[in-house]
Amino acid sequence: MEILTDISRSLQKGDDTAVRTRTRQALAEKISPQTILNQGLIAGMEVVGNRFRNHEIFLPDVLLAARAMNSGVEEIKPLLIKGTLSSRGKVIIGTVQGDLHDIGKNLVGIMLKGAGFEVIDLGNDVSVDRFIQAARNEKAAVIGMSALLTTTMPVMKEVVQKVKEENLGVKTIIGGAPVSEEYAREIGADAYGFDAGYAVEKINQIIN
Amino acid sequence: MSGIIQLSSTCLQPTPDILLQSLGYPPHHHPATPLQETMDRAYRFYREDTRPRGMIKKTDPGQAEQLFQIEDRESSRIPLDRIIPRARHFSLFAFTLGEPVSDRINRLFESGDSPTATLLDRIASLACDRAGQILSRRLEREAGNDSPAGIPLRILLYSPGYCGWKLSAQHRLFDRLKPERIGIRLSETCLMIPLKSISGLFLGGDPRIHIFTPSYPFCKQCRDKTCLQRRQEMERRPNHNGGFYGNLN
Repeated sequence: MEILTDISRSLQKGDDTAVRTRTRQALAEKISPQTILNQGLIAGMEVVGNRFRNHEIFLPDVLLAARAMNSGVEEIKPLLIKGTLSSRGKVIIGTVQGDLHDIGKNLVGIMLKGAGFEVIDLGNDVSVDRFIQAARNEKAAVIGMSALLTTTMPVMKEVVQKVKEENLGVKTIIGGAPVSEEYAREIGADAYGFDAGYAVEKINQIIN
Repeated sequence: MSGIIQLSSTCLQPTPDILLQSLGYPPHHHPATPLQETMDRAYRFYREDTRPRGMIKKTDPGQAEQLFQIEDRESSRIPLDRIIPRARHFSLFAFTLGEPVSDRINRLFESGDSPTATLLDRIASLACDRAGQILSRRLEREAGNDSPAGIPLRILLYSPGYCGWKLSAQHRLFDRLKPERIGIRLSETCLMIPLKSISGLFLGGDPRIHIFTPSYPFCKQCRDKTCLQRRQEMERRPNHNGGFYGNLN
């Protein structure tokens, strides 16, 4: 349907006003919210994700597309039958204790939401216990930890250890400027996210 | 130049081209309308919310060396061990854009406007870096008369948290400089608050003193590699024979 292609294209351009307007039009034309979601919004976001991975577009373009997606989702959300807006899994994210830098973590959260995950953002300066408690309470699939300071990296190790000690069955992924693949292996984390796009790809891999 | 320094937001503001290149776009990229509008909004917030203030305090080689105690090093050997003995200019430095811009970034993220938040965050980070560059040039000009004849003085900023100099050294730096007077404080983990702040030690001398091979143990994990950019910049710098330093290997 042409209108769904329009929604997808407008989303790819980051035009949130057009996405909202065209989503309303599609609803007025009696297209089901689920169809709009899958064939318009998610389809558009998939194109954006691929182009980002191929370095054809850059972070601000992805964020604009994600914002446009949200504007469309807001229109259809009240109409979706409860439970049909399915999540690919819950991910707990946070910047570890002692660290206040949260832009990287925020970007991961936005990209994860765009990819269909439910994200519980604990903010910054998050203690080991808060990560563990949130993962347990929310029955999360993944804990994602971010750090910009080398001095706060040991908190990641403590979280990974505690997840294993308590047999939580939660996967762990770490990221941030001083963190490396090698460090992730050393502390026993399940994955390392070099950047926000890569983190989403890795989370997809570890939960499957 | 010493004491509290005022810089205008405008002189620190990165150009749109520099901003976009820092985010991965090719040079001279023409943004589409949604991106252009978001950039315009981020620049407006930057102009409204930044309160740039800096501090510089001259110091001497002995005091500078005290900033690199054994507990403030990633390894026993760091590049500054070779730079300091050959330097002839030493100044402590701190600079902040103020709290409102950090608050704005947080509010934008919370409200779901992540594109504007991200661009504003990047503009502010680039402005902080620019402050260091502008002040190093000013110090060079000021110190020009003290330079031995014909040898250009090159002053660069070195900061705790980089090149093997641990972030914990911020305590010693703050003890000597007292940047609380311009509104910068340290968190328990030595983070500067407001977040959009920079600090460090300006070191100056012959351009060659700043060149080192990134083969220290901590270089393996470094994703920054500003040392390589610095090297390229030094190699382009005129030497006292009227030519250029060229390959400094």
